[in-house]
Amino acid sequence: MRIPGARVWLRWLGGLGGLAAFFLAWEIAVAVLQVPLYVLPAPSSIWRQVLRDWPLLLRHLQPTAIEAFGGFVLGNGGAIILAAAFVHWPPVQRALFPLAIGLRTIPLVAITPLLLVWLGYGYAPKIVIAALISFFPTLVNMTRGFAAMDQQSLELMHTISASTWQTFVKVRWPASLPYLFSALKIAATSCVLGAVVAEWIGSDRGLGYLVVAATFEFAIARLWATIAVTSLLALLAFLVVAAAERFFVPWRDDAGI
Amino acid sequence: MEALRDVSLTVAEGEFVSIIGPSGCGKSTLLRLAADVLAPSSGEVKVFGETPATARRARAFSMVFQDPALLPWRTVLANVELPLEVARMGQQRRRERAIEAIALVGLSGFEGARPAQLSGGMRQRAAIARALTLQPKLLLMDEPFSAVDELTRDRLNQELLAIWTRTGAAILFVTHSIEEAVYLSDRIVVLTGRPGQVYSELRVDLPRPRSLEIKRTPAAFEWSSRARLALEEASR
Repeated sequence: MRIPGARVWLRWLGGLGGLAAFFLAWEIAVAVLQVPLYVLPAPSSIWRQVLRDWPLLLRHLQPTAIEAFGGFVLGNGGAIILAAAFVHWPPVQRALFPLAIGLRTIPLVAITPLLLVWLGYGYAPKIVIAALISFFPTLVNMTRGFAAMDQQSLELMHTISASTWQTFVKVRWPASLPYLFSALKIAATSCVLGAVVAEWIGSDRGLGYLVVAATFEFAIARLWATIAVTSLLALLAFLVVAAAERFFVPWRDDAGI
Repeated sequence: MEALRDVSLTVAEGEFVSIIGPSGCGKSTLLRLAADVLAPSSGEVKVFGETPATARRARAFSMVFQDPALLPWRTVLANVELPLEVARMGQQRRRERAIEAIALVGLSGFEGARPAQLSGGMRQRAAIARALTLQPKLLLMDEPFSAVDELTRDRLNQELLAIWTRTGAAILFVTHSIEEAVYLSDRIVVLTGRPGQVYSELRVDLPRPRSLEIKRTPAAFEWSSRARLALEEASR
């Protein structure tokens, strides 16, 4: 017997409890061991810094969020389309999959300066990095997801003379949604990190830039505040995707976080 | 690998024909050939005088699989509507037809349920309703009741006969169960082991309409033992 309400509650409580214990241990350790601020500030002082710097953080949060979102849409959209092509035309998969893996092996930190040269100093190179980072996991997941349709469903669609498009829309796509959301949950956080890394290498705004600036000015508390806000942004992105999964994949029992 | 050889089989209009045979004799293959799921390596299959592909596109037959193959994200109603949706029928008409088919299999009231909420027998009923929406002249059924318990199977058999009578469709039915074949069929085709060939045909002349009680009559036992004997000989 499942009691969904209670289980969700317990899961949330467990998750929050774990986080609370972690931060509490951190706080106590810093106080007891008298760790200096420049080595590791206590969570409470990071939080105070977040509040103090809030207008500044918010100003730099915006471009990062835009880049991460743009990269999320571009990278996942591209991966979904390519995965659909892979499933319907195996030669395309044979030809392009090695290339996709090759793309994955390129160190992003190394090509970011090149992207800056090619695409300028604005949003574009950061969006591309965020897209590249989320592209591959989604491609792999969706290639599996689109092929996950069971043989009998495929035969059923054939015997009722469904077109390839109808089979895709009515069966393949919905059947792949659990795979899609697994991939999107990875992408949601990695897009934020991709955008931050790209900003870190070349930008005059965004959380990545703020990390560089804070380090340069030796503003350790602000550096940690920026890290905290970046994490919160990534966490928020993850939670939005997880909520969307609950909404769009209600037939899946374990559609939780 | 050769699954079938020199199989010649004709199903008359409105006839109920069952195919039995040892495991791996190509019973399912035969059905899949008729359904255009498989193509014959040689020879030909005609469904209503056409190739299976033409008959399939004309939506002249429906197939019921061993597994109900319902789409888990669709309600019973939406699952049953699927073939009509694919055939681009208007929403109003397809809803009416689906509701009618659901009533025919005795699932009224479960239109809004999802497959996961149904029992195995109910899922197979929904699959049969889905097959009926196209109002086919021929139903191809591949061991549709092999996964349900004996009593449910009896009830489903009885209902299938009622549906068959009401719709007037011919049924080509593959099964492992001799009793099931005897109870349902006008004619039982016994296939030999691989490569499957027609070993014999039995014309079951039990009176219709058949209630479940007929299964316990001497005549039914007689037919069952004849079919069992034929199957044993065919398996040799």
